[in-house]
Amino acid sequence: MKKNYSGERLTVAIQLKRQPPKWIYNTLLTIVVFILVIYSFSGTVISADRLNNFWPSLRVMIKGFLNPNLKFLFGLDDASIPYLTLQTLAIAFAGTLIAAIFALPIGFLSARNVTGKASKIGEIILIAIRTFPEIILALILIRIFGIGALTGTLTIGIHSVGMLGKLFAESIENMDRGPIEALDAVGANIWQKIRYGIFPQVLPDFLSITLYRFDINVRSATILGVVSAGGLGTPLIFATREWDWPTLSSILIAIIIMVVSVDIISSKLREKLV
Amino acid sequence: MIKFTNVDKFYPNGFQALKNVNLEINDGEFVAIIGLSGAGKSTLLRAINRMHPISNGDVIVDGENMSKLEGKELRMMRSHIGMIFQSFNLVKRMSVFKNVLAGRVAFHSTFKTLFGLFPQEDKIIALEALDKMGILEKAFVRADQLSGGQQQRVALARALAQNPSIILADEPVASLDPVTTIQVMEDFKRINTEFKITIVANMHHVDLAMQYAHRIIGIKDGIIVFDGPVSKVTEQILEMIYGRKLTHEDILEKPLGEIING
Ligand SMILES: Nc1ncnc2c1ncn2[C@@H]1O[C@H](COP(=O)(O)OP(=O)(O)OP(=O)(O)O)[C@@H](O)[C@H]1O
Ligand SMILES: [Mg+2]
Repeated sequence: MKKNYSGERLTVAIQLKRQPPKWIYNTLLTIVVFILVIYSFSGTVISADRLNNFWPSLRVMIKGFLNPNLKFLFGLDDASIPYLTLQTLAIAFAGTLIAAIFALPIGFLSARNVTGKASKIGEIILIAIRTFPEIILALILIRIFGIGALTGTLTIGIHSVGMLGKLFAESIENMDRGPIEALDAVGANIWQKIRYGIFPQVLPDFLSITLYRFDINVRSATILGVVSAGGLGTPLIFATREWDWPTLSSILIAIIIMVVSVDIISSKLREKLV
Repeated sequence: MIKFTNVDKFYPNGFQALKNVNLEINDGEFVAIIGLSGAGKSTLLRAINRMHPISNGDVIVDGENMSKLEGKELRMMRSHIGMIFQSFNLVKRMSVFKNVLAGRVAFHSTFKTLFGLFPQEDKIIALEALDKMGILEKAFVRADQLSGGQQQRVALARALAQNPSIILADEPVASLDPVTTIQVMEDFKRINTEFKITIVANMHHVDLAMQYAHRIIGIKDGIIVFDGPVSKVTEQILEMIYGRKLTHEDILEKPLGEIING
């Protein structure tokens, strides 16, 4: 029987009492959180003036949302929703495609079972890309390429390499070595081993990963429009500034329909790929 | 013909896996290599097509010194040696047909194979190989849709499509159930007798080795401790190779007495 230092038998009851005291920690934490909450609200104190305006403004907003700007929603010129939606999708698509093309070699470079120790180089490149915030990248690229869809496309194209490259590398690392050994035994050279041993194993994964990223990038492309990088985001930011609820409403309708249908289509396609 | 003279193999960590191996395997033979796990069976087999390079001595295959070959010459040499693995080593997501065609990549330029441009005659060779293995109807099915035995037949078809003089097999039936095991061993026997292809197979089960091979090579701690026809194998010899009495693990189905007496 186990005895503790004082000689009595160790029981659950004794251990329960010996729990390290948590109350100091908990109280301190509560106080800190409380101060933070108060502090952060102090900047946004709701003035009496605003409070009086609250109900009327809300009524205007709801009324606006219920009456979307139909001319904008169904217009056929290049300043209307159908065109801008297509532009957003095109930015996401082209950006994802560019990213996938660059992620391919970097993914192979970062796969430990392909390049051994040199894989660290690829991993570092990918981490650097991934941790660089997308919005900041867009703001920098706007200085170089100006306002518009090109900037949005390049932002997505560069930023997505980080995630795609990492997931590609993981897929390569998880593949079965057997077929490559067999190709070695058959006399295949390095390119033939990649083409017949590696590609058929990882290609379905790569496509599925890329589709998933496209899904994310459709959302990104919308957000990037807010900093003037093209697509639906640009009129969105103008409409909010001008309190133009009907226009905002029609943009939101378009975004919801677009995001939901891309999501559904991409997950259906990905199911087929496994 | 395969000829080993004074072959040693050291792994990079200094471990000696083959010790002064001398042997000669003639065309058309069916040889089984037996021995405990870790004895050096896979190392010996892979020294033949230089999947594992040797450290000392010579391995001569069909007149070519394997250690002297480099790059394209080595690949051309390998393209005439088929290899079968315990886990089939097929690309599971690829069709059976493409898996078999992959056996022919070394005969064509990188450019053509990268675009999957195989000549008509290669496609015929691949389909004929599948026909010889009795699985022609599975040609356009994904490899992972097949049973283990069928997958090993696809691997055999891939080897046959190479039009090889030798087929090396590393524990080809170790992951199959007893019934399929017998079927696949019958396939090996047929390939050996019908197409006059030399077979060198590492075998886990002594009874199978004795039943299908003409000749047994026993290896223990990297040393060839027995090399002779099946008829010369006795219980004492088996116990010498294994360094212990045989257990039911070493046998697929036959009682020990039956193995020795044929
Ligand atoms: N890459 C390696 N580095 C160092 N030692 C190795 C290496 N590969 C194999 N060995 C050692 O060489 C010896 C022979 O290995 P080998 O794979 O040829 O055995 P085997 O007879 O095929 O065994 P099994 O029946 O388990 O497949 C073993 O002791 C093994 O541990
Ligand atoms: Mg082995």
